[in-house]
Amino acid sequence: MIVVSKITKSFGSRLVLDDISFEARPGESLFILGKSGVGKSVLLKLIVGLIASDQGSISVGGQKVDVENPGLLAQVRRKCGLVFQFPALLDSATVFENIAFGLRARGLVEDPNLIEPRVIEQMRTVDLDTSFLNSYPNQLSYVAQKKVSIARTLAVSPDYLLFDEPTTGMDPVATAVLNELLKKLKRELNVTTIVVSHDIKSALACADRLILIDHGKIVFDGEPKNFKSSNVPLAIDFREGVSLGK
Amino acid sequence: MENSRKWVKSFGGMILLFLQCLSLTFKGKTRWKEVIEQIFQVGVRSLGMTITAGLFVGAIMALQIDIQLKDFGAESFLGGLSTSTTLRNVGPVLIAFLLSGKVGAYTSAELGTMEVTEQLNAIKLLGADPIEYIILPRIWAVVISSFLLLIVGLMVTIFGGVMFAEVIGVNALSYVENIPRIVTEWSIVLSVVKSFVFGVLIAVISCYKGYSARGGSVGVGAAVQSCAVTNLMFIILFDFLLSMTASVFQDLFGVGYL
Repeated sequence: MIVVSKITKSFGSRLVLDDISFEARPGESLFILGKSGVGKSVLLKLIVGLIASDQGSISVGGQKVDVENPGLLAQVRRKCGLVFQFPALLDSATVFENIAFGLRARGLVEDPNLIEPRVIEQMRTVDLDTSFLNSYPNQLSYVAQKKVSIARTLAVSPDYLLFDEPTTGMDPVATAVLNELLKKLKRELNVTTIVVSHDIKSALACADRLILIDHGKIVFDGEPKNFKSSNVPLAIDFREGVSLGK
Repeated sequence: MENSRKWVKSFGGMILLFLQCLSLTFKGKTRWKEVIEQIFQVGVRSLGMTITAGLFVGAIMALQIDIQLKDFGAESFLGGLSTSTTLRNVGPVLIAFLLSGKVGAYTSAELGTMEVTEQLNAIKLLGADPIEYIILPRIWAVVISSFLLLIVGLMVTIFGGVMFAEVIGVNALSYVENIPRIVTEWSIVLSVVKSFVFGVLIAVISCYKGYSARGGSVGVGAAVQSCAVTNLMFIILFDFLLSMTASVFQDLFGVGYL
């Protein structure tokens, strides 16, 4: 379980997250929605300890996220996999090397001969053509790069999967594939997922629970069916797909 | 005040990065295969530029010193004086400037782009240390490349001086014969030391500036600009400090003159 408790985060004089608390329960698919720039991505970076909060605490699988303690932080990160908004692939490494990176760095596969089958398995999981194995990221389309990024994260078998705007820049077919992948991960692996997004269609299709953030506060926390009938103004905006620029 | 604070933070960051890389190296964490690949990336591709620049630096020095010596009828000293000045000062500094522009800018831009596109964060989350995996091989590659390129560049400057001496009417053989009369082993030692120190400076400054880049493409641009300015400043500063140290050695122990 991921427990976020009374988290506050500012950048300079700008308060981004204001006393945020929630839990992501085991096996749950939790979508965090909000307009661009409300601190959704910041929340994910706080969970994996890439940045520190001003106040509050976060625990992942019972372990506190403490950026001052590299040993503990490494343990927390071993449980998590974060798929960044943009692919964040190593430019100078092939698709194979990118996906195998975490396996090697974490020492997850003892026999080097078993790395390639595992990489190929992950490529198939994300519906990525295995002929790209020795291609470099700049030879792939954006969607293919994104799939490599997801495969790289899945390869290390994280207990908690965090996605930052996974459907950004993806076409409807790729978005549908990703939505299916999220459902499959939940169905087959029972992985806890937190997805930061402003894609309401994906959220309603895949989420067990939705959290809506506005001006640093949680303004809605509940199941998709309740979101559909919520009177929260931003929830209405999201449903109707209007007024997001207000 | 704010600028001073940023400068102190940046200077401290560079020292810490250097110490961290030294510590990782002593722990045997350097991936030498990656270092060799990086030497090819940043070093071999700079060879042509270094040779071209070296030839002209040597020629310019021969020309300028010849003009001065003619007034005193001392053209026979051209080989020694020109080579000594080039080896001890002008050569290392000018070639280091060129390398900071090519190798330094390339490295800081590459690392800066990796930082702002979250590649370094991805490495952290996959269980690796970006300093060990990305920075350390580049630091050593830039140190080794810069050092070797500086040495090659200096040898070429001497050759450039010899070639240009013929053009301005000084016999090449007498030019070369005059070199050992003024250039001592200490000139060569100082030149090698400067080349190594400049190599370390370019490596650490370029890697630190790239690694600490923030804020998208604007941040990468700012990092490269800051890298160029800091490299030039530190090369001049350390050139002065090393020249002063050599001077002190000469006064105290009678070694290192010219």
